[in-house]
Amino acid sequence: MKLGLAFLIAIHAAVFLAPWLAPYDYAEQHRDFAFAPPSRIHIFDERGSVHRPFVYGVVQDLGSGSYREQRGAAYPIRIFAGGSLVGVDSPGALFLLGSDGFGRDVFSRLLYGARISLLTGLIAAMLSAGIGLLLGTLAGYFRGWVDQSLMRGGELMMALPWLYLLLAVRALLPLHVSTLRTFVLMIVIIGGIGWVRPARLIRAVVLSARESDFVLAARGFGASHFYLLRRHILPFTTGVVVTQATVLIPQYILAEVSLSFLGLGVGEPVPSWGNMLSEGMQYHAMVSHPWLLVPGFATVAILLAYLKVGDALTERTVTY
Amino acid sequence: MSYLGRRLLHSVFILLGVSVLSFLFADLAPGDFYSALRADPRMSPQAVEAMRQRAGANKSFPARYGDWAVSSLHGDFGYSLAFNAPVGPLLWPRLGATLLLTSTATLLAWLAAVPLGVWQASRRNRWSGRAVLTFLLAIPDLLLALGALVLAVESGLFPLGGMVSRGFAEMSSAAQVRDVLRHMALPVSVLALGMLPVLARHVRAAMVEAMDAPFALSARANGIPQARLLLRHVLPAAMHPLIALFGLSLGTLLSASLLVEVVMGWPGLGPLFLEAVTARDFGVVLAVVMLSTTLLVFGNLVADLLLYRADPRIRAK
Amino acid sequence: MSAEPLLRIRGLTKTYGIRDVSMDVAAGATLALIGPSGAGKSTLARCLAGFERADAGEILLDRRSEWPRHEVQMILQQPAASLNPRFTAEEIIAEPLVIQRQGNAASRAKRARELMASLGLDPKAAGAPARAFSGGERQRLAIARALTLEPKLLILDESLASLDLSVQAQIANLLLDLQEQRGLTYILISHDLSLVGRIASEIVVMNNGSIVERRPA
Repeated sequence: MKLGLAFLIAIHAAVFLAPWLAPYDYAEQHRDFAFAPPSRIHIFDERGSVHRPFVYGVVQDLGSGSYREQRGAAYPIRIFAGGSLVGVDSPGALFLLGSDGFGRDVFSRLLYGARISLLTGLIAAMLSAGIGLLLGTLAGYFRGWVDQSLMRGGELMMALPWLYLLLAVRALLPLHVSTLRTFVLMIVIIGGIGWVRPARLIRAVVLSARESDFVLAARGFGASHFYLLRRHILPFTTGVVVTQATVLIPQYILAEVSLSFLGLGVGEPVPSWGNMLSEGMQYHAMVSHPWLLVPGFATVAILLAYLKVGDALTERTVTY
Repeated sequence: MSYLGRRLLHSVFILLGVSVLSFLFADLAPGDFYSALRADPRMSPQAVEAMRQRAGANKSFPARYGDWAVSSLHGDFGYSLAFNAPVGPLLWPRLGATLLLTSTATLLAWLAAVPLGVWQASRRNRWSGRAVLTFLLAIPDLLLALGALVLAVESGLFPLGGMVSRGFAEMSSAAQVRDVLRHMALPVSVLALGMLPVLARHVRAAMVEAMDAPFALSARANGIPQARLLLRHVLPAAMHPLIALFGLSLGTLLSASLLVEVVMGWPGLGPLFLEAVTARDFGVVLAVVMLSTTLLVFGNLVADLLLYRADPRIRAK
Repeated sequence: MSAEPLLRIRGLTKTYGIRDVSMDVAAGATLALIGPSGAGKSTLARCLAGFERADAGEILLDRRSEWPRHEVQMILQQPAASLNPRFTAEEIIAEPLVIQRQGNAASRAKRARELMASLGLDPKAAGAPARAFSGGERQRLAIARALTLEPKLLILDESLASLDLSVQAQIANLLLDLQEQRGLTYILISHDLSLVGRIASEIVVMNNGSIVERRPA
């Protein structure tokens, strides 16, 4: 659990610091270095003497498309150069994870793309949890027709297959709008669809808390609805909200990645892990250039971390 | 009214509600199939408007919904503007392809998950590959599919996309079957691998819960050997929650494979749906949504009914 | 003890509960309600405590047909359930004051500690959460909370039933002391006839929603 949590915090910190950690801007193209493999970092030069870490310039063999190191041109890695943590002087290039078809640094795009993918997941999960909290509390506390209509409505929404619903809703809304609008739209759609399950769970908690004797006693002293909810009922929902968040966040990250993979997310040149993957697939490029699959591995790592944390949390609540 | 009757009625209401909502939503969506045409400078606005009129786009909501409902009952499911044909005939071959894929994958996944889950439950605190499965669980279908594509290209053993090769019609029946199987192999594996960890987890959890039940503990105290205990006593008890899960598996037969189909080029409902949605061809979109929802609702119904038959306590209510 | 009864009940009726129940309860008395399950004891108690409304009949407390809620308090059977496990002892006891907006934080804390002391609990434990207390201690907390707003009538619905025998005895004695100190009137619902014999001054037997018998203990 601790490991997973530490990993997640580290990743999110890195994402937050993306403009400083990334050697290049996400749209910066190096036309001479399309599909360049990850730069090899050397410490020993050809004669065996030690230097500060450096990379060689590379040149592309136009026939085969593969790259060769130019032993004559060495570019030392500079720390805190030009506004980022690491970098090299041009015309050298530091592609920690290689470059894509437009010669854009995959590592930098990975960091910037993480902003879109991870933040969408995070905020959308908060949205779902928030809506679920509100509606679940209303349904569980006031019961009657409020409860009935909310639960029936939720049932209708749950009857639809999730991904189909997501795709349909996304695509039926304007497709080519600004990046910010798309970002917000994605969050609203993904988060707005998934409120039903959290709402049900919260409703159950609220229902049982409402019937408890201590709420009865407080009511006996003349407590208002607001007081009861604030002091007695809502505090019991925090456990559910937290565990739901750990389940929803990875699901929603995956939703964003899937949607942008299918071309329904943020558009070029803004990277998201999804559209970075789809780029690789378009030219079957990923076979010859496996570093293009890095966003996929990154996704798996994040999902795994959330899975571990979620498992640990559920185990804790169950045993207690 | 009997339990079956009530649940059936409930399901019908849900489907009706979903269809009305979907229709409504498609209505509210900005732009329609003709918006793209309107943007085309070669078409005059009047021509586009005339096309819309002929397609009946300006009739009232209940009228259009009614038309669509009637058309669906005939098996046509409305009209596809993009393909200029009734939707129904477009769907059936795709539906078949998807079902072929998902039912095979679901079957394989269950066949593997049950023994695996039982075995894992029997080895409570010793190594049982749980970490491996958890890792697999974290890998989304999308990535498994991409990985499978890489595998296909690298090894050259599997065809890249499609359900049949060229010249399919001329092949012998045996060759045809082999051809489809070759095309199916990777997509099915990807889907099955995607389903396996979740199912195995549930099987294991159900087994563990049954193993801790008083009847199992006393059986063990009576000296019944482990294997017999697991298979003849615990497993049947653990089937109970698994039945509901199986019903749900059935329900997702049309919806589980969208991404895999798109990535691996399998000609099922997935790619059709994606195309239709991008082209704003609501006829197809609506039909696919209704089909998959129907199956989902049906799957829940089956799960409920199986539970009902299996658990006399529910019947007594 | 004044001649006028504290509680007058006339013709109280509630469907599926009680039928035409009438009785007087003198101030300072301990009235035990006994009878089989479903006799209507809890229904009567809930009507008195204000948790339910009767369909017919009237209840007069101190000759009033409407009275402030806090004058009648009920203590339930399960000590664990009637207290929010996350609340501290002080929060629990002071809660009625908070809800009624009486006093400030300091005066409420003081009152809570006083009540804890009168109930035989260590005031230094005021900051401990409810789940840290034993069953008997929790019932003391529940009684303390009930006493916060100085009620006239305390209804004890099987309140001692889930406690150990020795703890029962302690709390029974405590209740008697409190009654003397504060002039409380008790209505005790119990299946435990020895407990009834120990602390009740009168016994009312109910069956099928009506009073069947009434006699001094």
